[in-house]
Amino acid sequence: MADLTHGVNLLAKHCSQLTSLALEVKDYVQMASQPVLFFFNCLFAENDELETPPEPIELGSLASLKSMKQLNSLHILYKNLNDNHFENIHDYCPQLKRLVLKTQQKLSNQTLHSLSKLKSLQLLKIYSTPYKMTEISDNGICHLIDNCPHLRVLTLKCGTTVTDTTFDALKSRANRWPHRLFVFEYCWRRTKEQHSIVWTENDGFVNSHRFWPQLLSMPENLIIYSREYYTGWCGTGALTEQNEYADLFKIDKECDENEHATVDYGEYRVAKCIAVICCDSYTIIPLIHSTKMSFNFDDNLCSLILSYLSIEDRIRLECVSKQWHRLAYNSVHELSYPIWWLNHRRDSLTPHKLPDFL
Amino acid sequence: MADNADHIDGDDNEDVRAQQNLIKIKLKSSEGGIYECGLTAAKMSDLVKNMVESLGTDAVVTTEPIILGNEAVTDAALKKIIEWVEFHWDDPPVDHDFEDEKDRRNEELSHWDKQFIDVDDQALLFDVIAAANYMDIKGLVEVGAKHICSKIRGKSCQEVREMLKITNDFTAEEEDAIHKENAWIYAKD
Repeated sequence: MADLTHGVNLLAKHCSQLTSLALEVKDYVQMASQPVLFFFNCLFAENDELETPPEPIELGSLASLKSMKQLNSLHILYKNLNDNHFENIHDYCPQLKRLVLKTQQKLSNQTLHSLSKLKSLQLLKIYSTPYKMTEISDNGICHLIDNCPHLRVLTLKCGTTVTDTTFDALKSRANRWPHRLFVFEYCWRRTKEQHSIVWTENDGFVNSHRFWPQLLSMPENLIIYSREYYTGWCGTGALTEQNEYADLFKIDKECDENEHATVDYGEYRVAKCIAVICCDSYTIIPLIHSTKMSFNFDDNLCSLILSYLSIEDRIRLECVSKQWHRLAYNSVHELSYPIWWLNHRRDSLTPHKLPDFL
Repeated sequence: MADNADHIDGDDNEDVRAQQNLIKIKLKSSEGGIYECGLTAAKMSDLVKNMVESLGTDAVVTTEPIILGNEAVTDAALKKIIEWVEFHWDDPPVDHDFEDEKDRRNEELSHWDKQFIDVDDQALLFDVIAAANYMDIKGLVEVGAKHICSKIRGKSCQEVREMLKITNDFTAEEEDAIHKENAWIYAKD
């Protein structure tokens, strides 16, 4: 059985300036009379976007993509696409900005870790068989978010295990760039604990915030699409979707992007999040004490550190030491108490603090 | 909706910065350890940046390492600092048109930064913060400050003293006086 390596080699040789490439390796392609290379030759001159349904082939290595220095968009449809294909993708196409992967295999966090080395990545979409859970979870998603500073759209149309950790990472990213729009899509299945939540509300749909209350406090520049893999009473809906998805990989079945999209969006529970300022979600874990070192910073640094505390914390902690007492109000950035409240407390406020506050 | 991402502007200087980061310079800790760091990453330190600009890149690359003499810049702290700048050197630049001081201060740390700064060795944590302050790496100082504040938020004075190993240098009378002065903060309506 042939693989795409030779074809991509030829492509790289003749089209080194290619910026966008779509590789669709479908099943049981009967084109034995025409060699793969001939097929590529026909397409070179006309179009940067290639759809390649040649003879029965495997994907082969992606190493040849390395010659395409300008390649920034890659679309791969291949049913056996797995974690191993992406091990060195940052060497092959480091300039990738858009990456779409469609597979029938269960990808894992390993793929996300590999893709996180693509520093220019802006959009990533991963599709896998509906209603099948993959091993993609918080670890891989957060690693990707942390390592791809330009990532704006992350679509995981495959079963994922997502918790608040992912939402924290997304929230942090969105808050950091408030003028940019971020989109996150994922599919999930209920845990045993979540099964206790009544599922029939709002015409049979459950709002995602019933499961993740944190969704209500997301920034407005972050849009999250959450889809539950709920198999229903007999599971026929799931089976139908799985069959329709499998058709994508068959050459004798006409199945375009629009048709696929219709299937995918059929049961979406959409969580459009509303902006609420929230910054106190740290878990407080005691530090492990060092025997040789104490908090011994000079006034400037101590003052800077204290400046990140709320007024209330500063007041409560000002008698930790004389240094803290001296510096606690050096930099007040925000008055969080309403004026009426201060008036109410006016008699008990000492004069030396009010000028600092007001 | 996803196509909004198609219109992201590239950074003109991105390639230059990436190329510059391939150039390695040497940094020397107060303990004598010498460590390599990408030039762009190292220039996240205003101290190093000023030195490089004064001496010229060629001189910095070819001559002796840059000596960071402050005692907080231990081997371990310098390695942590290099890890941080090597991760953050290609962060998108701050857009002052859309970000203000208040938002930035209230912003949560990223998942990576939380893991980075959440070290078991408190002495190392303090060294990293002090060294970052000496090297004038504002982003890292902020990460350290936010981390410490997240730990002490809601704690009592005594708990904070124990946690951060701070000696109480107030007399009992002085402390009582401050507590009385601040009694209103604990009062409930």
